[in-house]
Amino acid sequence: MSVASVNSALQRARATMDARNPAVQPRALSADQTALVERYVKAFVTYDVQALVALLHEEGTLSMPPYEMWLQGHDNIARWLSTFGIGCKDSVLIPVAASGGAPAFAQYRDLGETPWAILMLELDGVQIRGMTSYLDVETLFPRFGMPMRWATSPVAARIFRYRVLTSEKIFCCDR
Amino acid sequence: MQRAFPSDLHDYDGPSLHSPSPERECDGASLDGIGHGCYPRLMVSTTLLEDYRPALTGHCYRMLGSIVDAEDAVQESMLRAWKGLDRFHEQSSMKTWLYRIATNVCLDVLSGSNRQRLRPLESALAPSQMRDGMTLPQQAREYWVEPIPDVLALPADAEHSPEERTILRESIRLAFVAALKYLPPRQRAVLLLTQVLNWSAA
Repeated sequence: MSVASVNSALQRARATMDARNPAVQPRALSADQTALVERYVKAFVTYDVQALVALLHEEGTLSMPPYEMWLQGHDNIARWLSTFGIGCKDSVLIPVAASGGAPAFAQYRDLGETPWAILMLELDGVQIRGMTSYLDVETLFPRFGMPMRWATSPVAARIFRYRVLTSEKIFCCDR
Repeated sequence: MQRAFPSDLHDYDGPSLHSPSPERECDGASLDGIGHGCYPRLMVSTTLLEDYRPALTGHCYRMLGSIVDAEDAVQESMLRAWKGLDRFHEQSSMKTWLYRIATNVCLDVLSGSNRQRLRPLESALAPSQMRDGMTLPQQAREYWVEPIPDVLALPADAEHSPEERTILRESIRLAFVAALKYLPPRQRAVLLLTQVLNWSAA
C-alpha cells in the first residue's frame, strides 16, 4: 500500500471507530468497584437473587452466548435467575484474567462439578451494566487454563456457610 | 521508534517451499540471529518464532474476534514464516516481518467470509421478556465475538513500555474488538498496525 492509501484508510477507519465510540472502562477498578464486584460474587455464590439484581443498573443486561436472547432490567433478570437459571445456585467462581482486565470468572455449577461459563461483567460506575456468560466451556476453559471440574474441599464446604478464600481468590459456597 | 509500514501489505505472495538460498550461505553458526541475515530454520522455528506467539495471537484476535481463529491464523503465519525464512532480510525486524505475514493471513481469512462476529446484545435488536416455556434459540460458535485469556494475547511486560502495554491491553477489550468489525478488513489492519502497533505510514 502507498503512504497515501494507508493514510486514507486510516482516516476512514478512525472516523468509523470514533462514531462507534466503544465505551471505555477505567483501566483499573476503583476501590468502590472492587467492593461492587465482591458484593456481586457474594450474592452470586449464595444465590441471593434480590441482592444480586440490586447491584445492577436499572437497564442492566444478562446474556448467554450461544443463546441469541438477552434480558434487561431487574424484574426480567430476577425472574430468569429464579427459574431458567436456578441451576446456578451452588456455583463456584474463580477469577480469570480476560480481555484486557475486565472483571471475569470461570463459573462452575454444582459446587465445582460442572464447568459452566466464563462470566464477564461490564461496570458502569458502581453498578453492573452487563453480565455475560460465555457458555462454550469446551473452547474456553482449556484456553483459560481451567480444569473441567473444580474440586471444592468437602471439609471447607461443611465448615463455612459462605467463604471467600481470598488467599487463592476462590469464591464458593457450601452445601 | 516507529516501524515503517509495509509497502507490500497483502502483495506478499507467500513463501515458496523451494525458494533459492539467499545471497549468502547459512552455515548454521550465526545463532545470534537478527542483524546477520542468517537463520538456521530449525533453531528459528522452535525459539525465535515461538517468542512472538502471544503478540501475534493478540494481533490476529483483534483482526478476527475469536481466540480459535486467532490460534489458527498464528499457526498458519508461523508455517509461512518458517517456510519463507530464506526471504527474510534485515530491512525489517523479525517481529515486523511476522506481523506482516500474520496480517496477510488474517486478510485471507476475512476475504473468505462476509459475516462478522457479534456481541450478545447485537444478536437481537431488543431484549426478550421473561415468560414460562420461552424458547432459547442458539447460534454457532462462529457467530460470536469470543473473550480471550490475557496470557495468550499479551506479550511479556518486559518487551514493551507501560504506554505500549496499556494500548495492547485496551485493544483486546471486547468492546474495542467488536467495534473493529465495522471496519473493512484492510482499514482494520491499517488501524491496528498504526494505532496499536505504532507502525508509521511512511
